[in-house]
Amino acid sequence: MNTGIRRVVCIAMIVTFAMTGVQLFARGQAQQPQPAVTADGAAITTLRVGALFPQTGGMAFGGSNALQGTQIAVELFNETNPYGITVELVSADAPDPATGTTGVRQLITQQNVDVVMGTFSSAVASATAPAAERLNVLYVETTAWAEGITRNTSNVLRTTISSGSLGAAAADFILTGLAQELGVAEADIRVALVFTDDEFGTSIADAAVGRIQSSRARLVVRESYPAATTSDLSSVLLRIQQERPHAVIHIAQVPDGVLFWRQAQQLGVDMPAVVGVGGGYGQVEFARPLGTNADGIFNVVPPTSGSINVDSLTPAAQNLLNELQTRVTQRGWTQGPYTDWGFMGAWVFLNEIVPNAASTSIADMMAAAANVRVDALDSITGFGFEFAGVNHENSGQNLRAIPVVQQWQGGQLRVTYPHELAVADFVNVPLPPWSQRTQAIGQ
Amino acid sequence: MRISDASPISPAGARIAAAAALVLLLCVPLVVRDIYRLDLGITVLIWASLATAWNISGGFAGGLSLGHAAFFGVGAYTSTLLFLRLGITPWIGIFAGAVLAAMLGALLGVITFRLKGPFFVLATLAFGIVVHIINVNWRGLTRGAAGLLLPFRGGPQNMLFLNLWAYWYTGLGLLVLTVGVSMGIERSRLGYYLVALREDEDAARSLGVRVVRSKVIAAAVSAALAACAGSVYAAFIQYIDPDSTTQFELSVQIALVAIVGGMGTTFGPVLGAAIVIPLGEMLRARLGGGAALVVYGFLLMVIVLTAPNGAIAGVRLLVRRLRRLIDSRRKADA
Amino acid sequence: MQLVLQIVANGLLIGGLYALLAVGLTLIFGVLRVVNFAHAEFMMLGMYGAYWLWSIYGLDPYVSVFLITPVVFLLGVAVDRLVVQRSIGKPDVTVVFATLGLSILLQNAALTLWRADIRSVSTFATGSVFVVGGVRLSVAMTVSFAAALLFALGLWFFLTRTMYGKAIQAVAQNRRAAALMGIDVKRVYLFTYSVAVAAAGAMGVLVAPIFTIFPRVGQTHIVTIFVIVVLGGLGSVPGAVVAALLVGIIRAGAGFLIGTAWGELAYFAVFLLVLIVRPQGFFGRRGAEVYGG
Repeated sequence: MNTGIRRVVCIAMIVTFAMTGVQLFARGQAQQPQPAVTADGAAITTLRVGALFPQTGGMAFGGSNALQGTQIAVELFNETNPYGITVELVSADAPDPATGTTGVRQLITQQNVDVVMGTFSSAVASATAPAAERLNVLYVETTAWAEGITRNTSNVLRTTISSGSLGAAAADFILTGLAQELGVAEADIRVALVFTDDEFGTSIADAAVGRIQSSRARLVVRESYPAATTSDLSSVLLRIQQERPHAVIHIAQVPDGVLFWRQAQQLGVDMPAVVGVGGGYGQVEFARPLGTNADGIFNVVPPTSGSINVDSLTPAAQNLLNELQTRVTQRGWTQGPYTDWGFMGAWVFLNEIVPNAASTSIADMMAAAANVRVDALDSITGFGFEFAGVNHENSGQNLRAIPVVQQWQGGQLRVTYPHELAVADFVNVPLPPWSQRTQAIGQ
Repeated sequence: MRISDASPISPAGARIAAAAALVLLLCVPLVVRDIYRLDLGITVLIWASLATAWNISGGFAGGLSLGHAAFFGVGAYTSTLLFLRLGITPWIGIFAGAVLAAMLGALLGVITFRLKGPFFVLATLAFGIVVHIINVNWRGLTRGAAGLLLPFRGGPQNMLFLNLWAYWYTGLGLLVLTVGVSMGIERSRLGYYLVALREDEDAARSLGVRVVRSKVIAAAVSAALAACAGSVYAAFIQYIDPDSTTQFELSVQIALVAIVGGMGTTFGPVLGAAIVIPLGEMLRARLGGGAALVVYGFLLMVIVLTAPNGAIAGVRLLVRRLRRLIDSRRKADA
Repeated sequence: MQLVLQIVANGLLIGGLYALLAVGLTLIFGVLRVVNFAHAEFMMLGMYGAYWLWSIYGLDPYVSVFLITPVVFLLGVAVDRLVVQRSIGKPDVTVVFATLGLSILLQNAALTLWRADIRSVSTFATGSVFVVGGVRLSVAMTVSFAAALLFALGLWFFLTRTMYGKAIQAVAQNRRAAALMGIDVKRVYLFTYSVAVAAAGAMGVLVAPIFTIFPRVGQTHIVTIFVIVVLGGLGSVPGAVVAALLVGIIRAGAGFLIGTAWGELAYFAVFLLVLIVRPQGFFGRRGAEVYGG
């Protein structure tokens, strides 16, 4: 009897539900204004920048630092505003590729950003840069290093270094500068490679392996481990103790970097030289707990304000650095390398590319980028800017982002290699054996 | 005995309602032109399918799996690798992934069928982690953490579209497939067996229900459908890596979506995806990541403690009340 | 030989650290029939407690452990009242996901309150070692190892030799019968949960001189701890201790022989195998796995 009515009611209910849903969906679209700057418009007056960094999850620490640097760059640019351009910054969280991809699409279609800036995480950037490419939006990569980000896309400008150059630079340093300092011939050198099994670690390790295998040196240990779930590195250290390499390349995050060294001390594993590559080894949070034991540890990175001779920078660059430091301190943030790279990448983009671009289209932005020449001494990070042209195999890559070898010395990272860029001489090469160290207690 | 014995809607009514909903969903891309919302909608469709797949073993058969990301990952990687290495279109790869996942699912079903409660949960968790570790370290096959980028080659014949609405229809097709299978199982003899096993295994066994067979089939079907969702996800995001396909957190989220919507019912997981995914997005946008996850964790706690039957129970209550209201009106009129 | 001894020692020490977490987790399961997914988050809170007291007041973790453990105990009381007790006796899904939700909540509360910064504590114990017969033992690890054994022994003594301990055992065996015997079951739950998470908190404080501190630090241990409690037999305190030490040694050995990455895989594979062949673990009651307790 009433099944008919039941049916009608049910259908009516579902239809209402669905209609409401559809309407909710559709509403955002109706309210959406047209982009302020069209791709074929005149010179840019307002620019909406989407900042896409991991702010939650395992990469929140470095991602937040990079975002903070970006925020300060935009803030400073708007305050000085020499070109009459107003920049609006919108940020989105990108803890993983899927959320990042949704984030990119949201920034572009919902927030109408003209350019996306990111990403800290190489895995996220591998998904989000192509996602922006499909929506015809420029992607400025200030902080992620994976080789593929620039190679597989046509819309990416990378202001920072690529992982291939980092891994190769680490191996090169061991085979040349370090071998010489240790007094070992290249053919006799034994290298251990320990790395995290994430994109960051593996892409750098691959480049290092390639370089070592094409030399006469020998790779005696090759170990990877998951950074997020490793609570014990003693077995890796004992392997190192057995094989007695001249140099260890360690690609790590902060927690496992600290653990590696604390356990090395506990187990008394002596290593003549350890070369970190970016990531954890470049952070103050890595060196502080190790105290004086950090002295002499190498790190291969694009340089940062913390490692170069700041006095040699131009006065303008020094002022810029002061501003950055003041603002970071005011907000109770910590200034890490990623703050520097995030800041400087955004700063160069805003000051050198945006004012000279005819529009926000990828082609116009790339054309403006092709003319950028920033000297190393004009940059707070100590590396300059010059982007590979569209015909380059690695187009959009900053060719002046060249790694340097730094060394922890008295709680500071100092550039020690190549010699022409060095601000300090090597210390602790080889590293003193644990038996000769005073019972070191970090501060 | 029916799986969803509390349903106030007759099977025929449900069928008509589902058909009506489908028609509306088909119209969505005609109305919604905004890419972001459509994008979110596609994500909801994929999650709805994934949660529906989980529900077949988790809800109907009562085995709370915390390892389903493994099957999702198998699907994503199988179709992607076949495409990259052999040039086989993901339209075929999706079935290859489903078959492979079904075999793995059956294997897992065989080794875990007698485990209950926390033991089953922990076994599936360990299984998921084993698959993840293999995925990360078998770099010759999966490229490890570097992940696989799907080159934009060929277009529609390779499940690669320039327009989001095409993904919407792909996702919708996936949802229709999973929900269809789920409905079929719910009504079938297998469905009755599974519920009997869930409620009282000994009694069911004594009545002649084939325990192992039923559980293994459920596990295999569930795994196969999760793998299909994985293949569609891979074609949609066009980049996969271990952290976004086989990680433990993903397994938790799959179960969570089904639970919030209402496990053990056909439409509960779909409702769950429609609630959880947009809510997560909204919280992230409003509160920022950390605070959003605080709310997320809190909601999860509150829901399982106060409403373990999920949101679908609330919807049913509403329908029942409305019907009573209409019935009483009719009586009054008469 | 020296090397073998050193590997075994490393394994034992890290195993002791796992034991302190695993004993609590297995106790909670044995008595409350709840898998406490949030267990390692209490360790994380203990680590932060140690960090703040050390960085602000200069308190050594070996002193502050006596202040922080009671605080974590009280937190355990609150969590048990508000969350855990409400889930007891409910369907599996409630029992599993209530504590999983709690874990997500605590992790991200820490992230929101204290940001993702990686913090560390360095004390005299950080770099000091004993050398026994050429084998090097970290002071900090040895202390936490000793604490774990003391806790496990104390707990074992308490459970088997005291009236209240026997009451707890009675609840673990049959909560209905225990209630009929006049045991306040809810208080037993409260006490058990709080003691177990307080032990996790204490462990967090004790390992602060070795491990860095960040919101997700609990995640580095939790899965290992699950493996241990299942191997030892869910609910068995001695089982958890033996399994923890064993897992410590296996990991250290496998890591050395076949590398960390594949060693990890081997040990999860063993775990799955044990679940299949002997799901009640080494010490668990036969049949427990089939009837969910």
